[in-house]
Amino acid sequence: MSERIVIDPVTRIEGHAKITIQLDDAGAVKDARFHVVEFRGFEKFCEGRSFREMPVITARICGICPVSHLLASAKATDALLAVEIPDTAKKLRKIVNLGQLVQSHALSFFHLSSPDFLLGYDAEPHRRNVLALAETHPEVAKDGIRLRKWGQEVIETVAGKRIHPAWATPGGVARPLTEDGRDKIWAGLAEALDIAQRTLSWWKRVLEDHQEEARTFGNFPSLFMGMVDEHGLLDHTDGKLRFVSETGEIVKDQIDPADYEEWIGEAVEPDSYLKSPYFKPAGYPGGVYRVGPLARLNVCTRAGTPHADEELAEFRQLGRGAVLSSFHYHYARLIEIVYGIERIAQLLGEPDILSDDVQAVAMRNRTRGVGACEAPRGTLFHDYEAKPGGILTRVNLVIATGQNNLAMNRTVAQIAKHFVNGRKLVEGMLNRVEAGIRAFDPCLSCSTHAAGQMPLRIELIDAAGAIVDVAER
Amino acid sequence: MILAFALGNPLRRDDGAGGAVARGLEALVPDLEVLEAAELLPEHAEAVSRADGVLFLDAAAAGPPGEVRAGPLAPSAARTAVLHALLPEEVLGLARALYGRAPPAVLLTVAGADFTFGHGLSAEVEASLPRARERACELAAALSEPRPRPVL
Repeated sequence: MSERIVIDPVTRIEGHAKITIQLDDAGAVKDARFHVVEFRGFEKFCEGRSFREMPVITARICGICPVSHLLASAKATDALLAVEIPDTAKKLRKIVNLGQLVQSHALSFFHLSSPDFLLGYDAEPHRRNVLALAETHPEVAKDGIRLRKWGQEVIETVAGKRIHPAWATPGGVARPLTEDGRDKIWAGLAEALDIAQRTLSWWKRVLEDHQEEARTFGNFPSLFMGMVDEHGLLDHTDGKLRFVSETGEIVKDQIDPADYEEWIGEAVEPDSYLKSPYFKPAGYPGGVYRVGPLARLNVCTRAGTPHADEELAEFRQLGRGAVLSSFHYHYARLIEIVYGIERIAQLLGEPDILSDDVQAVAMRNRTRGVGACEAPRGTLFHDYEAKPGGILTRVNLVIATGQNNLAMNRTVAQIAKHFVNGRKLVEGMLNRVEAGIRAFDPCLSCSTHAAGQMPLRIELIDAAGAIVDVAER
Repeated sequence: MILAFALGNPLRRDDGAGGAVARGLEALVPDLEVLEAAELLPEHAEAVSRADGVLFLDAAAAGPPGEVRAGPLAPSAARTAVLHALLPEEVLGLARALYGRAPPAVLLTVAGADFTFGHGLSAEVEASLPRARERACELAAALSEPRPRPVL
């Protein structure tokens, strides 16, 4: 008997992301939904593979943040081995993770978002990119390119490759850092920090011009989640989970990431391939929480490096408790770049950073392993179950962009309510929705290979369910 | 210094032709630096601006398999914002816009027969490698010749 498999929607390739805006009887915006119509299936096709292959396979999930998947996966496999990896290996993993944070944040701020700020939300979409900036604001474009390049050099120097390095392995890392490598990273540190601080100063000066965006781009109370160390300082690679409320109060602290299922539920909506994680004690959909740079700065007690701590203190003046506007993801991203550069400097100065002891060796000793780290966009979990021989029987990946799904829905609804008036979609609305989503820096923008604009389709639906207007690019 | 970009993905068989041509080139051409890249990015513009000449080595999807072609490149403005895959001309244009200088540049291609997943080149491309490498040496030598700096 033959079976027929129907994949729908196939033809909506233009809409890797789709948004529907629901109107009420009076024609006012009632709700909005952000749909992801792309399906990749990594969790399913990794079943049956050896756990030792997972760091290399899952690094291919993303071309921008392969290091995050590499590290979360390596940590999950460490857990299957039940080993404590050598201290030097831990520090090298941290350096690589922070190098990626710098390059990814630089890509998001300079290459993808700064054209909105410098050329305006109403500029032609094809002009809103870093290449157009080369003509209008060459110094900004150069800074962005230089900073991203330095972050990539950190990864390449330590891990051997900029993209998809097969370096973090079950039990540690494949090779130690050389003296030349350390010196090469050192050589670029001062310039990188200079660029980061110069950009941050500029951003604080122009922030006043973006008050409307700060008020309307995802400005609402929610929980925030991120990793901190035992003292509450930022720890992007080996921290424990902390949740804080909109008032900045710690709701739950020092959760072992291995226990994530106890605190995080994953709802599935019929209209999106992106899951909707939520904080279990608050239920669904009330347990909306945000992850990523804004969340991390909201959850930490201090950053843990001198300049970043000064900036964090100033940043916190924006909120009474937590900083609530998703527009301030941009600001938080810049502070995290400063932190990342300073923290890399601290780690490079550790006396054992050049040690050869970077690998623990063991067989599989457990049948379940969870690994987590802070990806540029938020907390990332890899959860594997394996048979005694090491073949995986279950894989669950909780991705940062997914954890912001509910918040992105609310952001779209808020922007729509502010900018949509009547039954007609206008261009300015499209640009601002795009910019609102971009503040979260979702992986969609890289997976669709588009910069300057995301393939978007927005449908305006009346109370009876009829589409009254469509805008797309 | 002559900068040679070895472009392409060796896991897509003949797409690795650029890398294959570049292999051993540094020993044949004085003051030549090979940079392997799956794709051209804005970050490459700075290195391009510092070179005396740039040789882009790549596979071509068109043409009889194994055909070696070469031609000069002129800087151009970027198309729409496709950051993942800049053209050589766009990297040159970006180098000029950002760093004030686009050196002379040449594109050398080897036409491929097989771009499916896998290692190894097709027999046609493999056979053309000595000729392609010889041509690359000639082009690098020509790029190395002293010439007046263009006024931008």
